[in-house]
Amino acid sequence: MTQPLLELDRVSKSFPGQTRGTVVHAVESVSLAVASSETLALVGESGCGKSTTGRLALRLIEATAGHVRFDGADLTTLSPAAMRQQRRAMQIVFQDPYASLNPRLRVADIIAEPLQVHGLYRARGERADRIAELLGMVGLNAEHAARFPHQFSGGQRQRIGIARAIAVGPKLVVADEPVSALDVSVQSQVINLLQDLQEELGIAYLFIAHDLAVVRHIAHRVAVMYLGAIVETAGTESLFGAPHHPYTQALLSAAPIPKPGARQGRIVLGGDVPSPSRRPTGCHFHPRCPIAQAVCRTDPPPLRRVADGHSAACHFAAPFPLG
Amino acid sequence: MIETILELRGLTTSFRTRQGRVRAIDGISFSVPRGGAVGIVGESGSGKSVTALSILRLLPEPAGRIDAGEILFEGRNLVPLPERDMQAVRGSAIGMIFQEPMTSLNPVFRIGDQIAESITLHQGGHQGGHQSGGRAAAHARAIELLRLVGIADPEQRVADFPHQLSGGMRQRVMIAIAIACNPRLLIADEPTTALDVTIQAQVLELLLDLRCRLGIAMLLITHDLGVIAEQVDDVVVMYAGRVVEQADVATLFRAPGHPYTAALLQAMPRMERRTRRLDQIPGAVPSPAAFPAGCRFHPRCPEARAICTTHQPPDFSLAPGHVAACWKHSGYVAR
Repeated sequence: MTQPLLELDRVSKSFPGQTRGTVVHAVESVSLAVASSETLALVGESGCGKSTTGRLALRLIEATAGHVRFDGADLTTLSPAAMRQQRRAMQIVFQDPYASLNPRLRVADIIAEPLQVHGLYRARGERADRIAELLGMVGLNAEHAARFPHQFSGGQRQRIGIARAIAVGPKLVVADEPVSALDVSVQSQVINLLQDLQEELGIAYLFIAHDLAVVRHIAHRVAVMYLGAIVETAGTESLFGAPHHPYTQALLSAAPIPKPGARQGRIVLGGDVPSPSRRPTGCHFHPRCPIAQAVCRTDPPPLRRVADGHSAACHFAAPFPLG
Repeated sequence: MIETILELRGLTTSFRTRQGRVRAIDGISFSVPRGGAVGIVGESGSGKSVTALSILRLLPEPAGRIDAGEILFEGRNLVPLPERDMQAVRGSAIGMIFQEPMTSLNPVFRIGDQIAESITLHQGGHQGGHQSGGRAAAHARAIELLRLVGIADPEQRVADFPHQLSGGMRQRVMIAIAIACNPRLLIADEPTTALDVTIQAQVLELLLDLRCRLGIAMLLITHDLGVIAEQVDDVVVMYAGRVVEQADVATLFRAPGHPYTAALLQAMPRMERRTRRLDQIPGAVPSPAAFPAGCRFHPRCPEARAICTTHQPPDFSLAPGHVAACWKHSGYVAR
């Protein structure tokens, strides 16, 4: 890969815990890179740090350690004024289309807000033209501009959120579970829209999701997170075809397959995901891991290369599913 | 002849809204065999949860009410039953599990007491014998149930409050309460939707295991076709308050009879294979206040004809156990 568009270099984020003196390690030494026009999916269960990673990438929250580079600039050291300039190129789409649109603003004002912040129109007519154009790009009509969010369905609201994100012509969009709240029949419309926009505009996506079927469909590469760290990363075909980390294998095996009789036996992990404030020693996954050995309890496994463009953080990484 | 435990005949439920009375479900008919597993699949607004609430008579009255139809549970119609008798059915003959295990449990009571409450409420008088011995017996039974649903150290856990448990454990507690009085039917409304995928796998495995061991029939309500494919024998597909198709699970996925079912299966991204582009269903799910005339799917249907816009299709019987409410099957016998 040539110069990536976005690069996270050993980025960590910890928060003070609820009880005095405890520390929640939400994200720990995460490194990843996203190229232009590429979709990298961040996958994991609730509390694994995938959304925090997305916010760190946009510097919506400050990292405790590490560097975020975007388009050649180190965001972690940028002045607020320079950061504001940079934000034009990096936008976000949220999960909940009901909570992420101001209910008291008309659609036109919602979409125009980022344009206004970045001074991207001069005259009133220019603004209206751009709003109409953006609505068209996301499959809505110019007439929709005068309506309020409550007059739209969930899928249409998510289209409005996408129009707002692409209004300023970003190079990167962090999409945080953008289709999780949508019905199946509407979900495919929004997935297709995101793909079309990527093709047309060359936007890169950091796509945060828990639905593996959606990820397989939309992502070029995938990073799997567990308890704040990346445990495996690979090209989509390689990850789904030959998962190397026992957690990835269990995750793929746990997802129900919409094909009766297709299930060949499932790896059911015992226990729950531990709290990020009380992470197990060694490999964080070892208490739930079906193949854990003594070394896993003491030595954290580094992320190491197991195949071309494919890395896994496991002492016993192997390209065959367990069970 | 397979014995039926639950049969719905033309069930119609409406709600009072600002737009007047609105029918959330409209003439629902299907049945659940004793010991069998039936799934209701549908999107938001399809009426699947209202169906469950109607069966249990848990509608928020008087805003919601059953307007027509019968709910036959073991041959007895539940619709005209007085609330007192209905309380005896709920929890003891029919167990229920809801989506959100945090809001379904009372935060200020220990989980053991909540399980014991459901036991004493339903069995205290006639099964346990003495009232004094009933308490200790119910406590022991609570521990036994926690063990049955796979909670480690049930003797300690029985004294926990809900907030001390993880989401998966809370759902296990809900299942323990649901099966506490040996129900013959379990109604599970999106039981794993709020859970992470590895925890969902645990809970689904548990439900399957309990059904096999205890012979409980299950009505599983979900939007997830993957869960349907792995958990049930027969499927009821709902759209906009009506049943559009019923089939055994293999037939439904192999040869869906209704264009909505077919479109839903096509629109789903798959984990097993990668498709270049997803098929999409145009438009959005209609709201109950504005259901279209005729077949309610017609504005989104690629196969819609003139008749679909004006006349509601009857259930055409495509094969034994397979019915689809679509005019394209008008060559078949209408049920």
